[in-house]
Amino acid sequence: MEEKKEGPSKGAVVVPFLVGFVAAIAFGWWGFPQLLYSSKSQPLNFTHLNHVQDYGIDCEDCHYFRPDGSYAGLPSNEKCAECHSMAMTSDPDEIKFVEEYYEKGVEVPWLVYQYQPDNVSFSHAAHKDEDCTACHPDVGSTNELPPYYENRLTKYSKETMKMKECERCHAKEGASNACQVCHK
Amino acid sequence: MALDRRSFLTFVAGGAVGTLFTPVIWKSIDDTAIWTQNWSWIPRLEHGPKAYAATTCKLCPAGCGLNIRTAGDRPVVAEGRTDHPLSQGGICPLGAAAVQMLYSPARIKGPMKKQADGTHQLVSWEEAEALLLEKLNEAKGQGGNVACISGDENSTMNEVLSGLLAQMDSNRFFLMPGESLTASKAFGSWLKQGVLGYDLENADLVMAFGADLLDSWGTAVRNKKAFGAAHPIGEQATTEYVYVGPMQNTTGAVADKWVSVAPGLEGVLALGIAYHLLQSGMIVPEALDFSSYRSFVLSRYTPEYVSKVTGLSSEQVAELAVKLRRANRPVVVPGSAISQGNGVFSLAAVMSLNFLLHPVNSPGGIFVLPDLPTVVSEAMEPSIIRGNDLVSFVQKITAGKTDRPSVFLVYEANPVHGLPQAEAMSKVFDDTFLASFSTFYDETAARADLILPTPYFLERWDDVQTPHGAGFVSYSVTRPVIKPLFDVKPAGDVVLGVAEKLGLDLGFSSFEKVLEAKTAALAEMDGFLTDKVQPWQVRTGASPAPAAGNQWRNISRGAVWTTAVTPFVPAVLLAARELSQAAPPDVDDWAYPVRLASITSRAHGSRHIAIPPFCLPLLGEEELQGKTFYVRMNSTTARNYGLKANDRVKLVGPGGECVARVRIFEGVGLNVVAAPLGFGHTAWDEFSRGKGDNIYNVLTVRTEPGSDLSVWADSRVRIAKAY
Repeated sequence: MEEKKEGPSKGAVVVPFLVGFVAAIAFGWWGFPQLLYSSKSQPLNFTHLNHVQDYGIDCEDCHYFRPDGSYAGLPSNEKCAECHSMAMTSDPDEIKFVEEYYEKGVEVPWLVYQYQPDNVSFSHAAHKDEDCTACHPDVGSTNELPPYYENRLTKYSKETMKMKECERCHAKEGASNACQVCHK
Repeated sequence: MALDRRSFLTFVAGGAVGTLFTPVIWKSIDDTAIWTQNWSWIPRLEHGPKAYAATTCKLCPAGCGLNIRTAGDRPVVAEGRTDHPLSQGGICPLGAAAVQMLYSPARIKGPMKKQADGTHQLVSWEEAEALLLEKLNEAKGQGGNVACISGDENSTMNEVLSGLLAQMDSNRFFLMPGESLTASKAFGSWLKQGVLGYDLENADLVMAFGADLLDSWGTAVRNKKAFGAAHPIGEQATTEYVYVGPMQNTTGAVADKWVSVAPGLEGVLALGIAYHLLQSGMIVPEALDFSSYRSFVLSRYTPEYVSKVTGLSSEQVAELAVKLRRANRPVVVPGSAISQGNGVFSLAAVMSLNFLLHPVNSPGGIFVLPDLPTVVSEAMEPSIIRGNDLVSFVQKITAGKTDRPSVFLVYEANPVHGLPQAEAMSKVFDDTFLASFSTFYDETAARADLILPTPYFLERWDDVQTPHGAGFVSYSVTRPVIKPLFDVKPAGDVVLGVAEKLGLDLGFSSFEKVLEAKTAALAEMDGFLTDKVQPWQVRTGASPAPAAGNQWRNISRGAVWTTAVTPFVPAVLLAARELSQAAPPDVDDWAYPVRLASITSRAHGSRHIAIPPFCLPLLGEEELQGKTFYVRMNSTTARNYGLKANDRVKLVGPGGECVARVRIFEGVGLNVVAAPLGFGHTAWDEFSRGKGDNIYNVLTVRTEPGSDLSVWADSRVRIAKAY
């Protein structure tokens, strides 16, 4: 009588399964983002905290609404040059701003963490009662600008808001979620 | 534990299940979807401060005010200007396309020279100007060896160009033919200081003969505003509009009454109406030739005769006369639906009704609108320019009756496409040096030996003086809203520079300075700015504050200057002699039995602008299908020629032919075919060319007896089914 073949032990099935499972989880949550995003740093390090604390500049002095209600967004060279038309310190970033950008008439190519595509019409004026940090990174309380992660596939910033985030807030606040509210 | 096949498979299964709990799949799918939409050519919005710049449109002669909305100093859209009396907040389809045309692929990118193989190659401005200088130097002093055609009848550029010609001993300066030429032939003998205007705003009856007031004729947007003000929604109209014309075009469709008369017969009907007015005892005391006019009309234009020629019943004609007699402030507007090519007979006959109804310069009637002072030394007087007949000149050259100029300067005009019998007429440019000052690569530029690109009107200084068909004098300035996108140079600056090198002194170093001087010269006239009081309100008692402050500063930023001063007119002539000599013959032309009612619409572009891509969606299925355009005729006419809707039809005129499809439209009179101008472009860009045929080729020029004027508004054709 032939010896009955022994089935696999429980461990022989579960262990490889668990190893595979954990490896996939690890790859999916840690390795995949490393692959998907490239890290970029801003062209200059702007010290928000120093400007606010040491020089008493308000956020709205640079990030302001124009008289017509449109939002200026990031300040232009001209705005920065109101103080920094010449280097006031020996800080390499300030010197770089003056020599590489302002004097050459080249706008600083700031990387915008929350750039929205043109098919979305977003009005800052309509959202001015919200806290800026509800959408934007809290850059005002630090002197370091966070790294900018660019999606290698889509070329958008990692922090670009998706439609579901807009919708969730609109629903919570009782604002309309009709298509034409944002897609004009 | 060895890694056997079973372990490997369970490892893979574990991995697959684990992946489901990570964003890998979902994120990859989503990002891939976004990636597929990332194309390099997708335009990106450029954000910036919003602003408005008030300027004046140059896309057609109507001179509307435009408000150019800019974002970050870039024009974004053209809007109407409520503070401009010629548009009052309105905008036409062509004006609405103004910003899109700034970026048109047909823009000329820099000066170009024709090569031996017929193509154009970019050259430097130095080379282009040197070539122009060389050619003008050769022509200098040989009186008339240089000629100029201007397509802009309202700009002070005409002074610069005609001044240059005058200093080169040439008087061959021409405008593209329009109705001011006809008016000049009819009334130029006594009306030298200005043109006649129509006070639509104060009239209580507007009767337009031929002139497509509410689409493209004269100050079209202002006409529409006057019509709209007189037709408040839900209320009784305060001014009655009557349209007398060959088809139910925009004016015919919207007017309170449409009277169908074949093209060329408007004058006959007008004299038929005059017959009744004369019978009722109306006179023109200030007319020196009134008695001969009266006896001519009463003897020839009897109700029976007019009824026979026009096809209207005697009662219909009498009713129109009663309407005019009963109105307090009636105004009659003569013209042709295409604002060109009408004869002295038609114009003088219709205008005579105005003279019969009320004296010149009465509110709600016709006014003499004085010309503005000229500033460039030796520039031709506007009254002389208006009288120069380009078509006759071209015909004389092609017939060998006069010398062919060795140099032709063409400014913002497209004579190769837009003269009647265009193909034959354009032969005038054979064996001459043709220099085109143009913004767009039009048919004339394509033919030119040298192209000197002008900035688009949103990139340059220019001006608009009282447009044809206006009711009041006006002056407003066109100003740059954006820096030129291409290597272009204002034509005025090019001409002034070349003149200086030729040793001629036009008195200015730049065209902007010419405009400044023009603005300063307005101070000679008692004028005001239209910010508070409109010119037509002055005629009914409003008193404006005289223009004050820095005139150039105000006008160059959009203010509109006007004056209520009208020249004293001691006597008029009704052109009785011309009327009797130019009367159309009673016999029908059996060789070309169908009357051609050509039409033009601002939705199809203008004289020098081909239909913009912005306006293409406005073309209906029965206006253009594929490459073939439509002509309209009523069902009886179609049946008579064995045609059905959508059939291909050939229109043959004595000078050319074209092919179209038939659209049955009962709003066209019997034995009339209505065909739109503005199609059949061969140059321009992929959007505007290759659409339909050019009706200008089919228009037929005849010389009107008595006035010796070239006339083509009453062209005739032969039609037949095309296979």
